[in-house]
Amino acid sequence: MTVTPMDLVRYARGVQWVLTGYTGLTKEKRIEADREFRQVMHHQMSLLRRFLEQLHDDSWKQEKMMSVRRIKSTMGEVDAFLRELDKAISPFHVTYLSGQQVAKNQSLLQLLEHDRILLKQIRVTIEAFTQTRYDSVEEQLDECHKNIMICQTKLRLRQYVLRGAENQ
Amino acid sequence: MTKKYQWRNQPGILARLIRIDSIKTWTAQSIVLKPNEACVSIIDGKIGRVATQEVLRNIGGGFPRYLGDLVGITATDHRMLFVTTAPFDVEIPFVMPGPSGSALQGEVQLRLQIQQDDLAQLLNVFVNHPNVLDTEGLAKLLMTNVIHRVLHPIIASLEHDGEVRSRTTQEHFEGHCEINLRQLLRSLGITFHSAVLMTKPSVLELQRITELTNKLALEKDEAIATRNLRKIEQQEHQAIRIIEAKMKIEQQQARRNMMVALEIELKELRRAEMLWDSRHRRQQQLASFEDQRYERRMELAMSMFDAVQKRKVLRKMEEKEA
Repeated sequence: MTVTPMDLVRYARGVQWVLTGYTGLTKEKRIEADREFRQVMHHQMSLLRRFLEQLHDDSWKQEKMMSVRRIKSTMGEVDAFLRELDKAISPFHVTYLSGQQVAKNQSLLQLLEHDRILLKQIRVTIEAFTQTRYDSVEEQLDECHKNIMICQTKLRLRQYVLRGAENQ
Repeated sequence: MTKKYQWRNQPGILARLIRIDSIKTWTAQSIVLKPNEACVSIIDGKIGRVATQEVLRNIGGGFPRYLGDLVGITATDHRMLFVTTAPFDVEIPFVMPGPSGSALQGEVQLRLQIQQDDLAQLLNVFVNHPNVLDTEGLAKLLMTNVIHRVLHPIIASLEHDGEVRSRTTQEHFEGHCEINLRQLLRSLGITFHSAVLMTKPSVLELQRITELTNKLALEKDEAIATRNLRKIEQQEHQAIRIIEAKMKIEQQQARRNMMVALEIELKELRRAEMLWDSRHRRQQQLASFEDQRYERRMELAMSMFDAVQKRKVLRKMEEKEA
């Protein structure tokens, strides 16, 4: 069995992890993880928007103007959520060194838990469109609208969790 | 020393595709990507990751890059696509015959957005477009589709010019834009949000407005003239009333003056009457005093006479006796 340099990387990482400990909460990795997290959420919500577009087209063809209006409204909510999602929050208050505070690992773990719950909520929102348990489009839209509102609230709470984590 | 490269110097610019060679300078250049901006690198024909809200350091120029070029360790072709990811408005002007036959003029306002995920799609725009995409350029790209696929069918289905501005037409227009433009916009990496149809008044409507304005102006003039006439009449009535009132006041004053004179005369007369009355009473009293004195004198004289007579009788009797 020949050993390539790529095989050695795995072992080298293991040795590094043992020596330095878990480095997932370092600043660079946190930034990268935050970016990935927001990208995943963005993809999920874009998918939801596509579903809504499809529903809009169907309702338009059937000339259900009330449904079309509600779908447009829900799409507007999704767009607002996406716009909010695109903007990352920085923990800096000012550009001086005094504004750059280091968060505790425990608080950052709380933030990760909050993100996990938010992602779960987004999945629940998308499932509202994939499941056929609803009797009408209006009921489906109501559920979707409600879930989007919860997602928006949770996303806004994220910055408070971050600030709280920062203040602790 | 690091310079900052500004990819967007006008608010109308939406995207810019640059070659790194084009921003070569002696000093290194960095780019600050704001929250509403995103950038994607195309290195040797391969699309890289989307960057946003960060500082891209040493993106072009500087001595290390010059050295890298010299040695040949840099990419053969390095391009960067900068995009603004905030929603923006595109206005497409149009002139077309309206339902009544008169020219209908206005603008279509589309609210669009380039999402971060769609940056790769946006490269399709630059196939046959200059390297800078602004709102005007995008309006030209979309104009044909908007006018011929959306606007013409909607205008043709209307009955009169005023219907263009109805709520139903606006909803239909937005719905048609959503459905008919989606494929085109998706191929360009643009997300559609909303559409508004804004029309200027047609010639017939302007004529009607002018007629109505003239009619209203005439009515206003008439109303003003009538009001002025009424005002003049009121003023006349008021003046007459004032004159009458003044005359009455003067009459009353004259009458009052006369009454005062008469009263004075009456007072004089009453005073004279009282004077005469007092004189008369005094004279009466004097007369009664005189009468009383005369009577007392008469009584006294009579009593003295009686006494004399009595003495005379007594003396005669004494003489007889004697």
